[in-house]
Amino acid sequence: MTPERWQQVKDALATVLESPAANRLVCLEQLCAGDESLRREVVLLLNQQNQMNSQFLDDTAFADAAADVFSAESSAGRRVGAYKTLERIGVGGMGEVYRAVRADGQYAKEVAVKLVRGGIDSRSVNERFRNERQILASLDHPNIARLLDGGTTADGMPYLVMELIEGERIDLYCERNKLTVPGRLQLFRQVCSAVQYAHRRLVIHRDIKPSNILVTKDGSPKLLDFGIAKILKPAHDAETAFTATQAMTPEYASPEQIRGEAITTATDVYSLGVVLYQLLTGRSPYSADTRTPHKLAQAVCETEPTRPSSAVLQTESRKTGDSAGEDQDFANRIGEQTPARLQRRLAGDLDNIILMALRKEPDRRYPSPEQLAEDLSRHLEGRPVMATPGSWSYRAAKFARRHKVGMVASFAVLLALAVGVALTAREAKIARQQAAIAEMQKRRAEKRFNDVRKLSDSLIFDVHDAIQDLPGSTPARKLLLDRALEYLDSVSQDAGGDPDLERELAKGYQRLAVVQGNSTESNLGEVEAGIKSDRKALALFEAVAAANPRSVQDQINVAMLYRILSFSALNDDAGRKDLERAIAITDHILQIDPKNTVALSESAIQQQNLAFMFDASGDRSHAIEAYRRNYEIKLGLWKSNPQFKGHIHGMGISMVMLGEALAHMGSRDEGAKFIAQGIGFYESLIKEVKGINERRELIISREKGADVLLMNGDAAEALAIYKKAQDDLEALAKPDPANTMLQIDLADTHFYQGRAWTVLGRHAEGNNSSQLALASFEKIRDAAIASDEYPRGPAAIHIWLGDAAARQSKLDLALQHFQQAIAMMESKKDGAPDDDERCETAAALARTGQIYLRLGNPQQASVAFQKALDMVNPPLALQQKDAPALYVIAEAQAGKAEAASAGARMSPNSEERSRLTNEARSLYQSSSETWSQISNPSSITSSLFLSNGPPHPPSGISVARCEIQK
Amino acid sequence: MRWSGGDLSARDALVPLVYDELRRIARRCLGGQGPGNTLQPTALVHEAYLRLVRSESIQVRDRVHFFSLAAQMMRQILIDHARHSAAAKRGGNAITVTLDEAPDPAGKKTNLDLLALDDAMVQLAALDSRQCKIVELRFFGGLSIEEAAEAVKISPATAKREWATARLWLHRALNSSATP
Repeated sequence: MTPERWQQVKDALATVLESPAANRLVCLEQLCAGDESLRREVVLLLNQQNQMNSQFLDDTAFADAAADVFSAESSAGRRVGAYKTLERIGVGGMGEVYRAVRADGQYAKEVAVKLVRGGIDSRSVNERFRNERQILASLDHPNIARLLDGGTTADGMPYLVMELIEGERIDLYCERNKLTVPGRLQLFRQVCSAVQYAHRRLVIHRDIKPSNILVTKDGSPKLLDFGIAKILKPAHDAETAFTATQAMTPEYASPEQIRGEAITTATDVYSLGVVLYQLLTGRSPYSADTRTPHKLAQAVCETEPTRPSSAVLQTESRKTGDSAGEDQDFANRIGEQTPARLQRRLAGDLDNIILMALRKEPDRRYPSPEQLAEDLSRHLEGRPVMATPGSWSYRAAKFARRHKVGMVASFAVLLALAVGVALTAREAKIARQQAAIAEMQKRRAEKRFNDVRKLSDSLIFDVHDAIQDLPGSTPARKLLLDRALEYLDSVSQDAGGDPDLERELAKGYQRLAVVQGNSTESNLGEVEAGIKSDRKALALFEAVAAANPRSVQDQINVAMLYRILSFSALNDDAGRKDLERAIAITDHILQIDPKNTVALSESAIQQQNLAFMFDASGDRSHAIEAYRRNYEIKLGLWKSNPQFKGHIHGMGISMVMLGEALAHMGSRDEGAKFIAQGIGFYESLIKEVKGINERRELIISREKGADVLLMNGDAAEALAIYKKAQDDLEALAKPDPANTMLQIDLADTHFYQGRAWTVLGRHAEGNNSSQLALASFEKIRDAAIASDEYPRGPAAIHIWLGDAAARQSKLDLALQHFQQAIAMMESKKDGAPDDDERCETAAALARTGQIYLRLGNPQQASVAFQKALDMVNPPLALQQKDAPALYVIAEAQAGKAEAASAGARMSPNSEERSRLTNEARSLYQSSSETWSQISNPSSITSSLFLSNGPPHPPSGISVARCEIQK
Repeated sequence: MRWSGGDLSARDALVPLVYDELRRIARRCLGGQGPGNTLQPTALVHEAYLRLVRSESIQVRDRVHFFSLAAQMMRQILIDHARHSAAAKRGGNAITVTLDEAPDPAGKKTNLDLLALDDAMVQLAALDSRQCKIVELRFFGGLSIEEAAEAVKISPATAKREWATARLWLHRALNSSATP
């Protein structure tokens, strides 16, 4: 057969196979016409089909073949060191176990020889064995199978020689002999004391499971493979990640083993807990559908085990209908008549004892197997046990902080003291030695996480950056964030003392925080998580900065963190202090190095935050100063490098913000200019940058420009811009429906359109848009709350709806809207309201006052107006030139004056009339004065509500004239 | 992905990907056996992993390429082990008998003779190396038809045909003493 011939045969064969069975013969004839040998070949192969097992070369065939290769490598009957193997008695862990005798026939006593195979580096195995051998061989306890000897065979296979134990697995033994609960507990306690004995000699088993606990004919449990896991475990780092979950049975492995963290005596306690669980319930602590090692490993680390008492009663439905039968069987075998009885037997103490041993955090378990055994004794004797249900603050979701080395020892001490067990000097020494072991483990772990660090940086952050700006990427990013946080957390505990690593980590947390919603980037609504990440970063950065006082970058990092933290607490003192600290650090650097661009950038952002802070407290004039400083720094940076996109973006932001602030303070022309220029920068930015955020900011900037138009009375043009904004936003939102920020923006555009329609007097359209806006806000309510747009957005809409209704003389409807607005604003629970919020609430209150006046109820009107005034603190507002507040104040004062006038007219009492008239006069006076303090007032207030204009005192009340600006 | 000698960080970045793929292989190995059992076959995977990770001359271009390397390696390792055991036995090959045509009435399972399969594959490779590669990818690497097609850069339909005809050829080769 030649290759060419084979192609012919193959093609013919394939074609025949693909034709329907009925046609095959015909097909065959056609293809092979004339070529007899071809036909023969094809037929021969076709016939194979009839003979071929359908499983030929499939997955099970592979598995079996692979298994066979290994099992066929039987080493029975060979010479291993001084011994000769007889027959294989087991396969497990990383090797096989054979019954063997001494080759020289000196003793007839049989031993067990464990051959270690599977690609393990035999040299290091031997080395570790040499180190451990002394200790292991010294373990002389009736319940521990002794390690006798060890070495390497001629062809390089390591082996261990152990005492041969004839016995039955402990779980099977209990079943077969139908041991009752007390019986099983007594057996188990012996196991505990064996483990305790080894712990006293600083040997940790590491691999306790039922197959390693055999019970001999006389009912005596024997532990096998003590400490052998340590010998066999490879030290090479690249293998650790792999072997951590594969080279051990995950079912019995403790969370720390699975994670590759420090192994301590608590690890053995955990595994004992699992065994106990099994002995008393007949099943594994983690649910049965975690068959794959990986899922099981995950369950062990993250899920709480089913309570033993619940596990024996399978109340959840199972696929096989026979769960009830199985439960009953097990209950019988453990000496209880029904599963319900078993449940009662286990509930309470035994539940708590087992769960305590199974705690995820090593130092929350029993500090020693002895303690576990003693608690079992106490239970059997009816005395109160140590185990408590445990506080559920340690929840399943995240593994609690890994404790530092020192703390493990001391916690154990404390716990022991608490139950009145004095630690002997010897045990104290062991505790210290424990600490030393853990320290060594920790150092090994350090090396591993260097790799983790590189991995997390590249894999997670590079990928994140790449997808961050793609529309539609929000859910993917959230997944990535969770992963990133896990990584950072798991690594950060070990970072102590390594400034480079700390810096890396801190950057990582910071990046994480930024995306978690600590800024206005595409918001995944996780502000709190962001703050936590920031504080972690801050602690780390400060440590680094303190260690490196000369490093400007490190100092800036600290400043940056303070600034970022302050942003989430703009209204209270802590936030202010953080920001001041940040500014102080940065100014200090700029004194030394005025051109330092990093410091300058940081300073600009600080000024921006400062401006926000002033705005929030109503100190508008200082806010404008800060916006201006922010702009000037950005301008300087941009001039030094006009091509740099970051600076272009900075110009856009700073100019629009400054423009908006100026417009609200009355300088509408200057404000409009700045906004227009800012838009220009954005337009050139988005030519190069493809991201969502920049586009969004451009759209919003245009809307801010439209706001100024609205304030200047140009509602029609403003409307056109808002409409275009809606179209643009919809285009952005379409591929990224999970992006709640865009949804909020869309709700806003509807609101803005509603505003414009109302100004134009087109109440039907205005109503439509406003209602649409309200509905949109409700749909995304939670996200809007997180973004602080709710309830202020909907409340403002209600105010406008109320105004529209009032203009149409629908007074009751108007009142309803205003009251709704007030209720919404007052329902906001978190933190004190900022100035804009207070102005909004006050505006709504003042409007209710207006309605009451029109309804002929001046007393209630007066109350409402007063409430409005109380809300916004007129003296302070005047001092701070708080334009938004001044509009409302002027209005409320005038309103209250009108109420007093009306009251005077209605009053029969001349004294009262006089008093009220005076009150009115003085209020009108105040209102005029307030109004005169508003620079360049317009028919739309700085809070973007309708303004009634300057106060008009009625004839009959003369008001001392002062400058009333038009 | 870059992975040639010296570029450790790239290789470390590969660790989780390698790990996942190898677990998949391990799952196949564990497929034929009972619950809660030996991890013996995972030693196979472990060895494959070590060889891959330690080898600095291997260039892995992408996932499918990686997997096809893994398949190759898996075959090498299994055959090595099989030969080693065969040699260790005095008196020839003690590995279990070749494939049966009909299920054994005694119910005893008889399994594939890997050495014989390997020999047959070598012969197939002489006739059609691409087809042999597909067998290697599918049987030793556990790739699906689609994945194998991608690795060898043919259409899935072609890969399906190659696999079907190869199976017949190999079956014949394993069941007769004289190969065509």
